[in-house]
Amino acid sequence: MIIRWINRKIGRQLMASFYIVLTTLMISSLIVYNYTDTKLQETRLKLEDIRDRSARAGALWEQWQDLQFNMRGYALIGDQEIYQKMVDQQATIDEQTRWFEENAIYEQGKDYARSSRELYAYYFEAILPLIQSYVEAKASGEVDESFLEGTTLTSLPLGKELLANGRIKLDASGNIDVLSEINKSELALGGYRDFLEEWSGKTSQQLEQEIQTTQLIWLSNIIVLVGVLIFFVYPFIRKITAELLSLVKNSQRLAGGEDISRVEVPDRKDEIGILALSFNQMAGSISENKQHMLAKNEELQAQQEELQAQQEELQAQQQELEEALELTMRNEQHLQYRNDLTETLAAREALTAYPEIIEKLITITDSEIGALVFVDEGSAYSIVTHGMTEELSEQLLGSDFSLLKRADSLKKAVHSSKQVASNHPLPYPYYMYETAVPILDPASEEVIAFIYLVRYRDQFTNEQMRDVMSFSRQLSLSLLRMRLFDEMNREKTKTERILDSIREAVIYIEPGKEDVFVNRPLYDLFPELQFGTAKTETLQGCLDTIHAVVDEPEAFSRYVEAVLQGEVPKDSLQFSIREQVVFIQFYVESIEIEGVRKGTMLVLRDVTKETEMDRLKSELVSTVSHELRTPLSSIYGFTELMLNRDIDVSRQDRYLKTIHSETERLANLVNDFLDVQRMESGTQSYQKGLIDLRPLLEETTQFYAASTAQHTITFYAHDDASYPLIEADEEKMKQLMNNLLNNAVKYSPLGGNIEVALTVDHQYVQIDVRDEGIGIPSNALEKLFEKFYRVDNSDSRKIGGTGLGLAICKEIVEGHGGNISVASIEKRGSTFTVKLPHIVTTYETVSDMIDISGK
Amino acid sequence: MARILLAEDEDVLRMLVLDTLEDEGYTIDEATDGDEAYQKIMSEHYDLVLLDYMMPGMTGIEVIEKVRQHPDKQQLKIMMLTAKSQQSDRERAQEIGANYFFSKPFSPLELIDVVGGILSDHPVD
Repeated sequence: MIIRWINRKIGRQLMASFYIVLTTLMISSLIVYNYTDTKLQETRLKLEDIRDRSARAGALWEQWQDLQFNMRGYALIGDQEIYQKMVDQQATIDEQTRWFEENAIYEQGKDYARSSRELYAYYFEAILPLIQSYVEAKASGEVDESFLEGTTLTSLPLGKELLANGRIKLDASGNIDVLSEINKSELALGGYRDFLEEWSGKTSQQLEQEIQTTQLIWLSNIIVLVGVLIFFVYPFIRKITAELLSLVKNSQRLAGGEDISRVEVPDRKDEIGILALSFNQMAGSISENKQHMLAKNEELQAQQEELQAQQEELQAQQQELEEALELTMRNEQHLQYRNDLTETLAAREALTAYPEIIEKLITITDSEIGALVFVDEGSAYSIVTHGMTEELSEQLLGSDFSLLKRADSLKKAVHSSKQVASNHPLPYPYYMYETAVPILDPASEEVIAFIYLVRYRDQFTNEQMRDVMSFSRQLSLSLLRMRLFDEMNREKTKTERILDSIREAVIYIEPGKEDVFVNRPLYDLFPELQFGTAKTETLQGCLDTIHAVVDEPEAFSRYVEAVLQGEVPKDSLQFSIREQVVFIQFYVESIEIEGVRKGTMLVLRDVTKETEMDRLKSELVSTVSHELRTPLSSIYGFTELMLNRDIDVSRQDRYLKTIHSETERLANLVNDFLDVQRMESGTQSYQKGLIDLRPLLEETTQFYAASTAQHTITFYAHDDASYPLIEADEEKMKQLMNNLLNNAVKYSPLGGNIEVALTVDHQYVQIDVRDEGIGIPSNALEKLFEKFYRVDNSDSRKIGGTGLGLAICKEIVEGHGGNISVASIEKRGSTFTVKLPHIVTTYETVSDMIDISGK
Repeated sequence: MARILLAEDEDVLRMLVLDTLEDEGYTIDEATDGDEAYQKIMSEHYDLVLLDYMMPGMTGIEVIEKVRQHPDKQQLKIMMLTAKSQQSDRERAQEIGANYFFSKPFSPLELIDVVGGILSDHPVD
């Protein structure tokens, strides 16, 4: 199962081999590692054991040494403490010796244990009890010696006994032979140590050998695996590659066009097997197609041959056609020239197209040079040439017997030919053929121009002459048309000039035409139209531009709408533009020629001045009626009361005074009107004399100061100035000052300071009247001195007036060769300045400041 | 007796109307401009207001316009005393709420009759 699954894919096959090799490698490595590790462990334990034994042997030996040392001490001193230590050592030595007895593995170990035990028995069963008995004897005084003597020991009872049963022996000197026993044991120890060392070396050697063997096995394992790779996997891959290569080769052959119907299919279930199968199918199908294509190809080749035959035939036909076409084109070229010429003649620009016309005539007639000669008024000629020298032109026009004269008198085309000996412009003598064709006015049959043409080689053909003749007729019509056009232009310019010179702005429209005619005053009235821009070209553009600035666009639109419908409204429309800056009267005139309506003229008249006058007049009427009615009402009322009622004397007196002052007011009003009337008609006259302004000003100022309680009125005349006399009408000067002071008081209703100052310079006497009143808006300053003008705001409306006072002041000042001006800040006050020219004569005056305030 | 407010800026005319009507026994209050007239109308009760057309401050028309905005001043009788006798002015004043007109120059005797007529129609309590 798994093998079949693996066989289906090359990848799987490769992976399977790879995994097998890898797994083998891993397992063998693991085994080697494990084995080596165990061996090392074992050996290490063994070596440790050996070291342990050696150490134990050493320790035992040291115990012995120590014991001997202690024993000597004990024998010498007899200290019980040392004895006790030896007893402890006995236990230790016994235990250590027993360890060897129990744990000895080899014979050498057992020998050492036996020898050690023998020494133990010798010392603790024989020597130690002997020493003990010696110490006891020494203690009991039985023995008395400072140093232990071997003979003493053997003399002791225990010594005798031991000697007797052979436990101890005596050496040559008669002492107890301890050394031989110890030497015996030391010898055993040395032997044992040597053995241990030898054993340790052996063990290490053994380990090394074993590890080497294992590594060898592991290496050979790898070599075997490599062998497996080389001997099994490589052929497997080679086989696959070979099979793929075979397929590639076959594909290349197939692509190269070889006919391959089949390849051998390897017995495989994997991609190569499938690929081979597919390749077989593809190759089969391609081979089939190829057969089919080959059949088609043959068919096509046959068709192509047929086509080639047809094409040759067509080429022959085309050549024929081309020849015909060339002929047609030649004819057409000629026609084109003729048409161009005809068009040129018909075009409006023909006025300036004479050089073009003669050039085209020369081309059509195949001439060399030529000219158009015009007969101007008084039989003078003017000429337009092409290719002609100045000399030739002069010759043509100058000669009395020229071709032109002949053509003129005969009124038909004349020809001439002459031989020219010169070698210019041709490099050899040649004939020159000339022709002059007169152009007649169709109405009067008079010659109005000539066509003059020259050829050098051949005569003009009949056909060429026919062309020239026909053009001469066209040219005649064209020339007449041009003359008419010129005349019309002159007329048009005249009309335009006339229309531009009138004051009314005009827009002339014709039904169904978008174009309009406008005159210059329209641009003056509406600078928005911008002369020469598209806005003015069309009616809509014009009307839209005007509409944009009209103050009441609805009324304007209604009116225009009616006019565009064809109506001619009898009434004009009055409207203002740019917020009442300009007033326009708009009316319409129908333009009719011989009873037929041709167009409509929209007329716009600037009536700003007239409108302003109308407004001022109606304001005057209303102001005057108000100003007149107040005094009239009181006079009328008080008299009626006095006539009809019983009124006490004091009231009567009051009424009479009122009636008197009101009558005076009325009289002043009437005088003002009369002054204005005189100003208007220019009949004002002044009774001039030399007067001194200073006392006059003082007097007037004092009068006003006395008549008001709210104001402080001060007169200044500057020191050390000499006040010249002026030539003036004293009454008028009083009126001037009255008006100015009256205004100062009237227009400062809340009171305040009023100053009158008199100054002088080398030319003028100057009077300043300064108040702290309501002031004058800056936009009103300009018109302030115009008659009937009144500042139109809520502050000034409260204060009555005719609007005449300042106009009269101005008239008076100007009547005396001076001028009046005003400076003002609204709500802060105004200063009126009068400048009057003085007479050279001066007189000294002690000037001072006089306070004549009303308070 | 009825109370009347007289609003007139011209001193002489104010004196004339004042004398004329006081002689008839009316109580007269005076105002010399539109603003004063408005203040008095709003703070006092009057049976009739005589209002000049052209006055400093508010004009007569402006005073009427403001006064009539108050619900409790709808029934107040107002007579315009004016030199502006043009028809258009009258229409404008009437529209706004003036009840009577009297043109300058006028006869004091006629004024007595007219005022008497107006006030007797609605006797004062």
